[in-house]
Amino acid sequence: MRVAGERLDVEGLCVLPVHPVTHAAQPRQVAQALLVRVAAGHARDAATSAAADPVAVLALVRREGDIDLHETCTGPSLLLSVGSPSVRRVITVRGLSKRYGVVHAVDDLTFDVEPGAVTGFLGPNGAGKSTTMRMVMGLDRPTAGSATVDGARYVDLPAPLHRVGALLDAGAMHPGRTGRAHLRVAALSNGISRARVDEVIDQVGLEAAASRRIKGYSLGMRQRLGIAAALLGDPAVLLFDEPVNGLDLDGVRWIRSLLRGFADEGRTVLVSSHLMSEVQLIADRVVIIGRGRLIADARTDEVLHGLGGARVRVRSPRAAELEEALTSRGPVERTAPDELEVTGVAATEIGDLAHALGVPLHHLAEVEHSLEQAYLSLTEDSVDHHGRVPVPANGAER
Amino acid sequence: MSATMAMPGPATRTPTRTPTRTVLVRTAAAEWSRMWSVRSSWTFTLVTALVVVGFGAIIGAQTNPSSVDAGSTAWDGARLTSMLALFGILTLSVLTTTADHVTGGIVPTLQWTPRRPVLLAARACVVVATTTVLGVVLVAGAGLAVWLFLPQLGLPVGDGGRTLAEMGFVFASGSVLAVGLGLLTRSTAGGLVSVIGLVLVLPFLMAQLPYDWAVTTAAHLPGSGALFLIFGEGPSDDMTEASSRITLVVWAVAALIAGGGRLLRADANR
Repeated sequence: MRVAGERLDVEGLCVLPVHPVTHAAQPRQVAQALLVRVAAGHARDAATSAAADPVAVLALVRREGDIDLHETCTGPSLLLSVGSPSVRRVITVRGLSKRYGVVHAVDDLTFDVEPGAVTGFLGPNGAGKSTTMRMVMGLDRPTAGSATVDGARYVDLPAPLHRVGALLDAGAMHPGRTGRAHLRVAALSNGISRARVDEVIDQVGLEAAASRRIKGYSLGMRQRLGIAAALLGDPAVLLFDEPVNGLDLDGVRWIRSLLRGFADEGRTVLVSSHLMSEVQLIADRVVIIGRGRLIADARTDEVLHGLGGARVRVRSPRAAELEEALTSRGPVERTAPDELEVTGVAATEIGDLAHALGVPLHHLAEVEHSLEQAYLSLTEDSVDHHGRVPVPANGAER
Repeated sequence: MSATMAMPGPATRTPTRTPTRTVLVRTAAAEWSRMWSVRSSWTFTLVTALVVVGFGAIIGAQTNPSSVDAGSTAWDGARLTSMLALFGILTLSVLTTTADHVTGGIVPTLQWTPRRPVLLAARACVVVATTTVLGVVLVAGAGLAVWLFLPQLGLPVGDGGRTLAEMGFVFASGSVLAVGLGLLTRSTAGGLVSVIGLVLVLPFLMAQLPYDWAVTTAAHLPGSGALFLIFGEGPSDDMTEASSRITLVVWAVAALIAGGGRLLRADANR
């Protein structure tokens, strides 16, 4: 726990084990998790209450109207996230729902997006990411709930294009218009100068193609043009829906540094992507949804940590000997005759133990969790469309 | 657990809401640019101009001067070209209105102009004003072409003013109808079929049916109103200039309310 001046700004998510049948979490675990997540003004009270009665912490948080507590039970664990009122919220989504007939595209979704960070917006196909972003931008009307920027609907912002820039659908452009004319229309509608149009064209690297018709653009070029339009008003809030689609490696690196740069400038960046490795590289936080419902809303490292403690891979010609010694310290898995994966024991501790035992080590390294693992683990019950892996004619698995 | 530091934001602007009038002017400028920054608008306008003025020239060139009624002017010939101009105007209005929905351009458009009533007003005003002026100019050009080939007819200014004003009314109401139906259908094909059907096809077809109700219905279709104002004839003897104007206005306003309502309330889908 770190304290910034007088304030303790903490927020996030924890993954708690629950009873396999009742799905109930242990009150003390809940309280301890909340204690390190409860917002500034309530931290001291929470600490005092927790010392006397752990359950009181939960009661305290529930009592405070300006603290949002979200609990989502996902099979073997309880995801608990607490939004802190002392953290500035730029994009605020509250109980947002969108129904198409009997289909709940977005179902009672609540989360916040903060400035100065890249927030990854993840979910399987059809999870409701694009619909949510469209509702934030006022393109779709919510069935229930609200989505606001700076506390106001997008349409009610004083200067929407100067406050929020969004790339929602790179293909949504008239193919017969030139790239420059597309941006010029946007600029005219918001009183933006021609010079600014040329500026953003330079910024996205479309100088050579700006006078060509969009129908001759590759998908990557359309993405760049869409990003240029989003940047036109020099907005403090950016929403990008799958921005790296169609981009080549240079383009991907460019968008990565662009988004990182915006966040470092203090801007608010919400980016959806199905490329987990990309999100892991750039996102400070992730909001994960499945079937329109919130699954996780937390810092990226917290989600990764939610997969379990640190894992260490050890390779030794005397692996069995080491396994026996390590079993008492943490779960050990034999992944190969000469290889172990140990959970919850530091690499240094394993090295020291091996040294003490005189066991030679050929490999000792921490295994990094990937967001892809976390994502798959969290959304495995939320995927609408499963592909089938083809099985060879003889039925043998490869 | 990490502490979140207050981050300095980018340079922020004074959050003053732009006056609606300013937004309307800017949006109208954007709509104008949107309309004329695609080649199809220019091509269609050029083709329509060639056909309308060319038809006027043909009328002037092919008419036998001895067979012309006394009191006829070149503007009577120009009226004959008005149906062609009307066809062009309706098509251009539908094309311009539906392009955003067909291409998906409505997504960025509503990000740039999220105040939908302003967008509706700007779009309708720009399309209707542009196509109406275009139609009037083309009919004037057709009148001039008739007169150039048949100068005996004369080109009186007063008669021209009346003719062009009447045609302007027909073109404006037709364009409003087309904009409304374009916004309602969100499809170029659907918009064209419905507007051409209501204005150019159904009135003629229904008037041919041997049923009173069909003839009465035909008389209340917008195409019959346009036909009466252009040629002074309609499917029913009960039609007057006033009833024709009312018919056109009612259809145009109803279509704009229906189409505009969809733009204002519905999701911004293709």
